[in-house]
Amino acid sequence: MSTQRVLRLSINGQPVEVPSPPERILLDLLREDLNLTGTKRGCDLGTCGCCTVLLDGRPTLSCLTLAVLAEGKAITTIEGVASATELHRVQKSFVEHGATQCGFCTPGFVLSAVALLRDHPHASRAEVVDAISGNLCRCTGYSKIIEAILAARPAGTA
Amino acid sequence: MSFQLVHPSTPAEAVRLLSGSATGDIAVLSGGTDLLLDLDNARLAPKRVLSLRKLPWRYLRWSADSLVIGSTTPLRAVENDGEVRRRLPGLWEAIRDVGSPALRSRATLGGNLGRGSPASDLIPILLALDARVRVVGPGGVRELPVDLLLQGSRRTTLGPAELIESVTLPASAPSTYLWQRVQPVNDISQVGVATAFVPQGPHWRIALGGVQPRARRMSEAEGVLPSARPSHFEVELAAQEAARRAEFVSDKRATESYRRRLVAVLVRRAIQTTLERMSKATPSRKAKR
Amino acid sequence: MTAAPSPELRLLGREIPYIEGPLKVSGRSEYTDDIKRPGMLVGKLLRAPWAHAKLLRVDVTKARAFPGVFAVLTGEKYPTPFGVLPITKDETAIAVDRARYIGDIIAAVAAQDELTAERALALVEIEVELLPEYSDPRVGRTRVDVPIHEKGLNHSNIQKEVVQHFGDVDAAFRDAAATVRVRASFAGVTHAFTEPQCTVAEATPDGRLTVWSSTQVPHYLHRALSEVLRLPMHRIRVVKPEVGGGFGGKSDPLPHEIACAALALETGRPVKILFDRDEVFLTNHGRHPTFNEVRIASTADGQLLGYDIEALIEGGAWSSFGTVTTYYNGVMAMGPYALPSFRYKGQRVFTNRPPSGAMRAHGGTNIRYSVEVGLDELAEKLNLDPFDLRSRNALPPHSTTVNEFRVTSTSFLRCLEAVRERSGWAEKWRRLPYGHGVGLGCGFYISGSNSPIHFTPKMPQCTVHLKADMDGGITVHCMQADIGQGSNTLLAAIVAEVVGVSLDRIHISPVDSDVTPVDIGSYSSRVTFMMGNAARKAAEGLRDRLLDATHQLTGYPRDALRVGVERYEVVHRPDIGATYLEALHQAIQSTGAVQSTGAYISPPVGGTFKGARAGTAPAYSFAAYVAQVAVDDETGVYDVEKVWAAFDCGRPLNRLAVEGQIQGSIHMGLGQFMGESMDYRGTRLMNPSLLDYKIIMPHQMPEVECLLVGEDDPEGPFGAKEAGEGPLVATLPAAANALYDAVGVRFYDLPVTPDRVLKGLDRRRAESRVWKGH
Repeated sequence: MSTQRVLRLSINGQPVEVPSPPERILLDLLREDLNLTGTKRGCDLGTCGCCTVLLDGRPTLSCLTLAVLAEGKAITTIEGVASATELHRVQKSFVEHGATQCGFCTPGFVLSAVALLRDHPHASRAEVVDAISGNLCRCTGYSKIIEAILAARPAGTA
Repeated sequence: MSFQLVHPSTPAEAVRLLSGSATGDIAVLSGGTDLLLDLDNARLAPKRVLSLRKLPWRYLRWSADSLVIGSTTPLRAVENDGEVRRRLPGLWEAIRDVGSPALRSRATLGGNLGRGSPASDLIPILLALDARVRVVGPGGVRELPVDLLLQGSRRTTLGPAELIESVTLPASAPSTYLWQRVQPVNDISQVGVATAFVPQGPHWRIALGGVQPRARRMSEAEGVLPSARPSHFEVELAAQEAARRAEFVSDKRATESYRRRLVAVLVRRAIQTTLERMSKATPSRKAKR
Repeated sequence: MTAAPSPELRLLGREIPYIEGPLKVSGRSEYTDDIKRPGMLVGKLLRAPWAHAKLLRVDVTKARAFPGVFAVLTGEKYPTPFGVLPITKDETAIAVDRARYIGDIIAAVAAQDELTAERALALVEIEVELLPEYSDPRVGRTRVDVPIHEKGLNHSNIQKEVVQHFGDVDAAFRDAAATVRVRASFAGVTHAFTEPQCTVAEATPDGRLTVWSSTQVPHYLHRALSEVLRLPMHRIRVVKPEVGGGFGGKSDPLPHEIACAALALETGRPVKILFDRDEVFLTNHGRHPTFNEVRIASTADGQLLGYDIEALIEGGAWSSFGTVTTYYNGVMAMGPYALPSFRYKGQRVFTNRPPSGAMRAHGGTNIRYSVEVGLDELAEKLNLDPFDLRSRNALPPHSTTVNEFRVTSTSFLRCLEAVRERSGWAEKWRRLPYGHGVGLGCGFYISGSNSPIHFTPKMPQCTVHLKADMDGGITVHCMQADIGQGSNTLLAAIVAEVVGVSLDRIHISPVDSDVTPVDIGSYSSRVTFMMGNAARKAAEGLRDRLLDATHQLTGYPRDALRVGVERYEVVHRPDIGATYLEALHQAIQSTGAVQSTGAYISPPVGGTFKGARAGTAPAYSFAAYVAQVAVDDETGVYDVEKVWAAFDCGRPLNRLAVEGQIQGSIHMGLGQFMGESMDYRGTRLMNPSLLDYKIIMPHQMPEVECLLVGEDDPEGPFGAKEAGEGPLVATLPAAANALYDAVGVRFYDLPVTPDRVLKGLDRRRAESRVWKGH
């Protein structure tokens, strides 16, 4: 039988305590234990990126992360991107540009884009493509996703 | 599956924990990108998982003639180090398209090496750069060339209680890594070609990945390149020799004949790019694929 | 007389961001796996490890007794066969007597958690008699020892055979000055949507069963549940949550959906089944692996005289849409060119492999490839520019094809003109340096299949109900399934446009069979056309009620009024009128909440011969694409640099959505061309994962320039036609013909991987054929 202990996590800026066995995967903990269902399960392999969250600001595949190893790190899920009253400019740009069709991959893309633009606000098209290279989309052909991310850069970026 | 997760904070403690467990009862967790898949599909069912995260092995240490990378350093950290890109361009090229950015922020050098996959993109360039590993175990610390660490497909010469502590590379070397895959990223290579011109003679190194039973240096092809400035003819000969000598299989990723053909082309291109880097023409120019 | 609509469309025709965008970007949209019901159990399926086996004994005693297990079901509880087409119902929720492919469902368990369910399934004891396995459709066409289905033609594995002949094809080939023949083979490909199939079912003590499922066809699912579970439809409620992609892979009622409901009935508890990714691949229903041969006959100056087509498509273990696919693999070649004669022999053959079904541009993709490559070869033979060959044969508007398809609007010639000009064709074709090339591929597809599947053409294929009440909002009820293609947004925009209100007043009701009137589903590219027309009618009904109310308020008769923005006013005295809310409240006074309804039935079209209906549609879309490629002839790797996509969808009502569909279709089409492939070793699928099934990445995606040059369709809503599937078909031949322009090699076996490119180059060199000096 596995032993549970209480994990102390920081999720979207809030401290959270969850009892968890050591083998619990972060994705399952978020979706099942905390009802944060915005992070999605797509491929069981770490290949599709639908499970992307940010750990200390870095895009991470939550399906390949033991929840216990996320202790002491700041976890950001898609639910934590918008402010209380307003969408993040990346989210607004996705909406304006039609960058989300079925929307299942969207949380992963948004988080990858938010992380990229926070570190590289003037990212080039090649850097955008690199940043999203772990996120799979079957609906859009990526075209409008890339446009939306480029448009979310500070005004006047070449 | 459930297990006990342990976090030793010193190498000695880690070795002790490994020594005290029967093989199969304990698994080592570095970045976890391979281990978690093995746990998920029940390929492994250890009683204990030993996490290396508290060990002081996340670093890149430059000195006048070497770079030492701690084995639990995430690949992304190596990729983002501007000095790596400038001074060891082949290493940077090998790392930058492994998996995805999210994967590279977890996957580690030590994990990739320890896995010993014949398709690894890192092992060929480490071989080409004459990399050495530092290993800790019950018998203490030992150093050996990467070539002697690898035994076969997914088999290393590490003892059951041994861990890779770090990898040592030259501080700089004109080098190139070219790969062939179906998809440009987030995919496993069909073949990988690493070339380098290392400080000590004989200088040329050519190493292949995607060959059987494990990545290796192609010393016969290296021998065709006698000098710092081989002619076009010599480069082509070396490429053909590498392709001829390499052992391939046909698998779900590629046929044997396609791999062989690709190697001949990619070795030629990789040597040419390394030559360009030697003359410092355009150091960060992306190699023609 | 009704008020004339605004001459300028206010909303439609522009870029309309999807209305649920803000929810999707915040992770707030509810997909089926996000649903949790109190006391919910985990459902898991035991899948056959044998490709063809008679089930002698399936003993679930030990599994049932395992602690934490609430039910284990086998096939005999609900043995009624079902299937998306009434004429070929050959699937069961759980296998009854036989497993017919590796992956076929042979038992289902509901347990307290996933681990318990998996352990219980491992305790199921099965005795089988292994049967001969069939993995090659070419082999199954003659008498076989143990046909996969008893109804196979002449004790073979043939599921369906189609033979059609219109005009005199033999005479055409006799008289032809030039003929070409293309023989091609196509690996199977699959939808690979990001959201795995998921179903939640709950039976409540009031005798009702609710099923939430990721489906494109809630109504067909509703029917299938009722049939198999032997429950009247009115006791079953089907809800469609947000769906993470379908592309035809969720357009059948699927066995697991019914098995999940059965588990819910058995346990009295809610049950959820979520597929692992390999289960998604095994369920497949993707594009049929195909062998086809197309012969084309032509005069010396490029007038087409006829086609002679043979196609063999691999059905896998079940029928699914296959009867329709068998027709489509011939008749989708009926456009965009006028043909005086046409002969087609098509066969669909069962194999013990994951079933083939409908996949985007269903039945129209592989045949289009062979025709368009054939026309490229014909143009070369006749020394014609490929564009000229196409334009001289274009189907005229308002014409009838030789197999009695009714073609109404077509802007195919404008597509050709636009794409030729924008791509710089005249400067590039045969003029770019070796290794670089451009190619033309054209397209033709149905805008909605004319006949609904389950009932007579006399019943509407879509019904829309509107309700406007005191809060000023308008709720739209329709069972249309938004699967990411933007149908919710279009529905809202049409209503807002016609009623003259701001888009945010429109609320699209969640799709729920208790509440929303039937729409038959998102397949065959029917939703814009059919839902759009129904919505327009309903909205006009509401608008007329509001105009009547304005008449009551102002004294001006209805035909003196026009629809403004949030206002209805007198045409010559715009200062006289009523706001939307004033008119609405006036209308409510007499009847309470205002309601209106609209429905669409497609007009009867087509011939009366057997199979005449397959391929009939109220309208067709047309396309002409130019692709530009660059080839590395040492590695065989090629880059599709750009695609100019001229598409005729009539009037595009939401440009953002139409572009998105074109881009997504090109991504999927190039995927099939470049590397997607369901790889088998015999009957075993070797690559059921997103790592090994090669979808192209953003680095490989070309720049896409969309040229929307359609003219209004006379029957489409506001002139619109489909843009959901048609945009895919022209992609593959454009890429193939571009490769020929680049390196002088034709490709007849898809996918065209770098390995195959190198082999093609070897062949050309072995033939001593020089291309552009190389």
